[in-house]
Amino acid sequence: MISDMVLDYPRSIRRLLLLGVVIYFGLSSLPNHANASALDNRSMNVHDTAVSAVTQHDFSFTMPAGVSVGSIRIEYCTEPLPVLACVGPTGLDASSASLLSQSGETGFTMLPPTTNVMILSRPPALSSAGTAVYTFAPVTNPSPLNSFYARIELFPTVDATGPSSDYGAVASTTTRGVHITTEVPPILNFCVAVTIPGDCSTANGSFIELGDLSPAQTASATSQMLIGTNAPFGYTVFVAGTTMTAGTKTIAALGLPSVSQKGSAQFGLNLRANTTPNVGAEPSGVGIATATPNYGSPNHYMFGSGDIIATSAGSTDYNTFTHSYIINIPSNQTGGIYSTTLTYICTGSF
Amino acid sequence: MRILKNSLLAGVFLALLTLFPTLVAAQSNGLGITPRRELTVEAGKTVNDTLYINNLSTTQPLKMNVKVIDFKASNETGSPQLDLRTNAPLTAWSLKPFIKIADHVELAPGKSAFVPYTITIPAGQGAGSYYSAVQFMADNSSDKQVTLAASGVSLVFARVPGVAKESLQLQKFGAFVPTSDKSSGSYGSFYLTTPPQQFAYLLKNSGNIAEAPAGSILVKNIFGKNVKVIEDANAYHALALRDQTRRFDVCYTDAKTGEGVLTGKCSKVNLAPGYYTASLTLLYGQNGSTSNEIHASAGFWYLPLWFIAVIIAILAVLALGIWFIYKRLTRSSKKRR
Repeated sequence: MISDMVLDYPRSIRRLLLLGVVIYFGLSSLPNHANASALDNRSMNVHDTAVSAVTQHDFSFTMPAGVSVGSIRIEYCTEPLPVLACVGPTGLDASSASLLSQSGETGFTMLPPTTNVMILSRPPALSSAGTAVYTFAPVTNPSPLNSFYARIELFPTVDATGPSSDYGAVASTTTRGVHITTEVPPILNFCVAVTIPGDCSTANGSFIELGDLSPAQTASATSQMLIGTNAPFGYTVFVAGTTMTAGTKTIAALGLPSVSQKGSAQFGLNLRANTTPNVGAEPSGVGIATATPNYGSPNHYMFGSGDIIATSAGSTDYNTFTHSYIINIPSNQTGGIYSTTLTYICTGSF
Repeated sequence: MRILKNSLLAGVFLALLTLFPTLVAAQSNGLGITPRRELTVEAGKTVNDTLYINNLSTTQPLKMNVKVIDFKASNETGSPQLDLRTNAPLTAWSLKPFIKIADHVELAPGKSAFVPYTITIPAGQGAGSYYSAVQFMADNSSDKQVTLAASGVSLVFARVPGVAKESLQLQKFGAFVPTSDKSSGSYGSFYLTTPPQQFAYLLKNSGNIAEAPAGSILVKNIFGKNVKVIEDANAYHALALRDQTRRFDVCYTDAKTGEGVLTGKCSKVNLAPGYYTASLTLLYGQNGSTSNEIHASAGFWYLPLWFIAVIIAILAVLALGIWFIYKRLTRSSKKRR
């Protein structure tokens, strides 16, 4: 009885191999739109790219030679992938469009269009190689500020049914229309001051006095900046200026993130709460902006004119950053009134 | 008595005069600006446009010096690198020779304005992208130890239509984990805790036009079934500047909340453990120009620790079972002998 339980390994391996072959051929037989040939030199010209504009759309591509063409389907979708079902872009409307002109491969009439599908039809005939151009109007552009796609397919049938022989996608992007007055434009708000207890209207002070500098003590001070933007591509903040200077004499700036050392010539800043010396505050606010690594490490300071000190990768609510400055001087530092002007530059990103 | 009175008045007047420069010197360091403008200007034509400026201080005036400076990409992201040098040489894509704007702007407290400027592209100028930055710099100066000044910069892009060289080359594509400041990160193939929440692709722009590619990403499981689609692989029209190698970060966007990579909150995605392939399809080309296509695919494993533990447990049970059967078999054969 027990001998019946002994595994028949060769038989099991044969079964596994058979199963693998069945799975392979099963998956291979799934619908595959990638079998269509690619259409070359495709382009779409949207005469007015403004959102919701009622305009003319031109399509151009190289017609392959010797292909039986009975119809051309132009389908507007939210993505270009032929393996996915097409979803029409929001607001796009081609249902009133008519074929204004055709060149290259001709003889087409337009079947009644739907919101996002236009079909050109003719009795099936072999195509000749060359540039084919078809223009349509009126077409209403999508309403969001976004990319949209047109899938172009050639069919041997007269009504764009069955598998397509050739395929290609083109992309376009709607742009902000000058006639739109209700839209909130991108704005970047930015302020710098010694203290900013609330919004930018509460910014207070543009000058910092550090008192007398001494080799035995690190001089420190703070200022603040408040930034926010609704621009989707975010912002970048730079610091520009000179190190502390008195005529031709300077206090050396820290070229790399470094700790504070009394008795050394050091000028630097960072955007964090520090313990050595006890100065600064952590960034605050519900925004997503962050300090760059060189200026974002507690107790490490540096200064380079033109350095990026904070960035936001996207639209963001307000963040308050506190600049912590430190100044150390050596005992042989030449006397004088040392000063600097620091310009904080905030720019949109791209 | 009158002399005393006059002297007092003169004293007060002088005191006011002494104070006045300090009051005047107090100036706003808060401004709102247009961060980016994109225009199309045909060669031989002029376009008039405006840049928005707002004085965010309700008590102090905003006096700004205005100048046009050049910039390039500072790294793989969309951060510009401003060329703040005086007399800096023009970049190949500089708009400086073509742009005209006032060199000084003043705004009363709480007021805003649209600052006009013009871009004139000479006839015969080659097609492509030209861009510079307009810097609004608060006019602050003092004899204090540290003087703070705020400056806002608007990036201005002008596209000159025509036959331009359009060339993007894909350098990398795959699942991606950015650093905290998103300036860099790493492409990965194995994920042990959560599925990768975002993808990235790196494109080198060798053309003479700033490109904003459009496309989609399709994620398939080990059986070839579509499990996720990212419809817009460049949702916010990010640009690869001329000569830049630009990284485009893409993450699953939550249809309900609209959360996406550029809001800093990639939506969490649920995937079953296994192997996945992400396919990227990108199209680029200016409106009316030939569409160029880029295809790439990248695979990744999502093997959470709990799944590995379950697999190990199953293997252990199997091993135990085999050992048990082996023992039974050897025992029964011994009995038969």
